[in-house]
Amino acid sequence: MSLIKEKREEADREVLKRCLRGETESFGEIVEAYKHSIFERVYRWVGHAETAEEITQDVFMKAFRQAGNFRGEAKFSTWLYQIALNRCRDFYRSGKSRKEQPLPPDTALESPAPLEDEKAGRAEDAARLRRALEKLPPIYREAVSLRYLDEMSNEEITKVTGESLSNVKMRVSRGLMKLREHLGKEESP
Amino acid sequence: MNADEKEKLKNLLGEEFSSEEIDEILKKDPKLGASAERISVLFKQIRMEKTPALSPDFTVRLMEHIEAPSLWQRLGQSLFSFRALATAAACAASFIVGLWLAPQYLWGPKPEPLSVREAIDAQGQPVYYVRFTAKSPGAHTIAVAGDFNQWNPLPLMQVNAQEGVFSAEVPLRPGTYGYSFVVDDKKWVVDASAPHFVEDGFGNKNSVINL
Repeated sequence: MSLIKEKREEADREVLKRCLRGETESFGEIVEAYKHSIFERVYRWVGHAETAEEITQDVFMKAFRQAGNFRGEAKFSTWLYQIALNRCRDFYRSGKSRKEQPLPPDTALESPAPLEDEKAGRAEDAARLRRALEKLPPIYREAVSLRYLDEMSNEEITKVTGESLSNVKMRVSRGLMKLREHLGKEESP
Repeated sequence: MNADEKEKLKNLLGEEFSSEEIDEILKKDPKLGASAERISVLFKQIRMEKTPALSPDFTVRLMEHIEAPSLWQRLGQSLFSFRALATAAACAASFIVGLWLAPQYLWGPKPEPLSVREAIDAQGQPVYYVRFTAKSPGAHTIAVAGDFNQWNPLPLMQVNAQEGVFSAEVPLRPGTYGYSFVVDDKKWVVDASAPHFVEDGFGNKNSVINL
């Protein structure tokens, strides 16, 4: 598997070189290779499909414009991921809130079957967690999202964010404490 | 302390956390141990949510905005191959500028010390108005977070855009408070003007003020 990844990395660098020489149509290969993984990550963070798609577009536009800045010291996928992370930071900093997706009009009137009850319960749990995440200050939300939505280890988070391990651990632990507090407020009668 | 809850919290936080660090966290938030498994399950439910599909024309729409670089842009980008020369030139220029600016920063004005003004509130209780001031050239935002606001970053007001000085006065009751500044929502910076400092349990230092 690592040989495949190495070949992927080589191919990506080659495409970037071609783009820098003016063969911009090659960039489509990179978009096709990474669009789903970037979109999935961004969607987990922002929770809204339309916004996630706009941000994903921005990520690739920025990657294209900054292709000359890619030094090749880190993996290309990590570099692309860092662009996505910065773009999501900008999104939260801009104060644009996640748009609520309204329920279809008939949903509330039906009597759901037991299996649907379970699904509805899980959906409500997920929504509750998202609301609690939204309330976290950005510095904690990012750490918690990287740790638990992207399932990165604390060590991996240091590579993506450039922060020290002690800082990452501090943000993750404080973020969890605040998350528990917000969830507790939502769940208490 | 419930050993099972501590173990679940350790699994949630990650192997990089030592037993002592987890004990410290449980001291600050005793309920976190009991909630660890529940939180883990909630995150798993989000991760299992089906991601919506991207628009089928995503790549086509994106590539419509990708233009071939002009001759000047390609010329500029080809300097990538002369990076070593450009880097050396930039380093030399930085060194010269640094020599010119150094006196201002080495012997220039020091950060304003923390200032405290004592008062009595309407209920006759003592209150201290603490002015937090932070300087970080180029910063867009600086906030202060500490024991007095449950470590929720509180934005300071920009008072000097050119020098990146931010300040705010915060009313506090008598007590001892650990705190730190947060620059641009991502970097924790200790307040060098604070009278005391303390380890935060993760290898960093927090500033401390006693009122």
